[in-house]
Amino acid sequence: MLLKKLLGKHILLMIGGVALLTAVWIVAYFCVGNDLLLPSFGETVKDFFLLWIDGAFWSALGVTLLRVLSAFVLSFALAVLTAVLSYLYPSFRAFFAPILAVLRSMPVLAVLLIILVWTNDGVAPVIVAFLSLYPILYTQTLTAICGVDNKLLQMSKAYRVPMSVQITKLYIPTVAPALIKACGLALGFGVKLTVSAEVLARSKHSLGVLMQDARGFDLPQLFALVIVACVLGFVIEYAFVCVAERMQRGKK
Amino acid sequence: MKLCITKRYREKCVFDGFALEIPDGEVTCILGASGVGKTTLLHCLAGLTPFEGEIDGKTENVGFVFQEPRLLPFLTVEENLTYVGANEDEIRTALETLEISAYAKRYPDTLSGGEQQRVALARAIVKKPPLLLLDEPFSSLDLPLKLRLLSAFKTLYQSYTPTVVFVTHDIDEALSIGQRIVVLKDGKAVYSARVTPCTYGENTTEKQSVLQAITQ
Repeated sequence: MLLKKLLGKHILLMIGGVALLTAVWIVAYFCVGNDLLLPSFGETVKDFFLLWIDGAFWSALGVTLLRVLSAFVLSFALAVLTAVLSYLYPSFRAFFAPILAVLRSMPVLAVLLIILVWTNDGVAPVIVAFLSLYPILYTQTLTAICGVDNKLLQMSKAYRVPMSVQITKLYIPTVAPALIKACGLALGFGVKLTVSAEVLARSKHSLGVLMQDARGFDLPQLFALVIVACVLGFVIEYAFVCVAERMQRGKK
Repeated sequence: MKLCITKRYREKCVFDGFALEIPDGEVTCILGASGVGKTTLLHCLAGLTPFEGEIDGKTENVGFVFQEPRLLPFLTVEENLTYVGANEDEIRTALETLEISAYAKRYPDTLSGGEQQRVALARAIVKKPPLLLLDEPFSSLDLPLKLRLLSAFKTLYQSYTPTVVFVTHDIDEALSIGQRIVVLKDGKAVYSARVTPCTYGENTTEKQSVLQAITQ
């Protein structure tokens, strides 16, 4: 009952936030008074729903999502592997620290231009998203593993609990909620980053290139596509956060 | 069981060739002020910390009760016992011995501190290890609960008479369950005597001797 109340309150607050943004848009539209600079809210919403019956949009969305997923799977797999190695071997963590620092400080969209020289417009956004997501997932995974209760680990050692049992019964349940939350944030960020990279790289059959095409002569559609990217990122992120919170509640 | 160990933490030497004999099948209580190495001794016996020297006796299979219950919060009571390798029959017997069969399907956070410590005791004896190590397991409990758990401990000890090393700073607790009392000071056993377990809080001559050994 309490949970339902909290959820209801949460949803109402979110609707309030969307309503505020819409109000700001409508006021700004009347202040600017130029459809070439800022399209009307109604026109954009109409274009947003028109996209749903456009086959080209769905294929572009599919291609973009495939890129996001590829970058995510690649970075997640490598992040888990290197985080486990860093946890087990402090010397590996020390060796890896400068590489990670470089990846973290890298201006990935600028690096996209170099990657485009070496690869093509289809692969470059995946690499850009990977370079951004990997350090985030690595740090989150390592933090989660290091957060496993030392007292429980000591107890496991005293009782000679096999490592396989420790992994399935102690490490995974402890790490999973934080990791799922991190995956949601990474996927949401991945959508924004991949679309940005596609716009810059003019990747064929992608949301990014649809945005490029709409720029200049179909501003409502450009806004509608930006909204699609925002909604997509938000939905993915929110779904994962919900799953992680449900797991944490279950754990308690 | 005989041991002779040297243990250092960086510059600090906790034990320097510390020798002790722990009688098999008896309850040895280790007393002493904070920081004398009581917990370190248990950690050496359980293989939780490296040390120099040797321990002559079976230490591969131990039951360990820590100061806190250390139960996995996302596993039920019986799953916590399964975690240390116990089967269904062993779990049922252990829970019955400690009279906590009703808690089998419950999660640790739905139990009180005393109930959780009972589960920790059940986990320690579920596989009937020949060596049972207890590190001030009742120190955070109030007196009535402590007395109930001491009684539960006596029952489970009598159920299969393991070798027990019981670390505590409560003299009454030690004298009520211990068959041998050892007082540690400056990395040495300054007092060691066989005793007959008495009632908790009873004023015996052994109590005066132990008190003197701790405070001198």
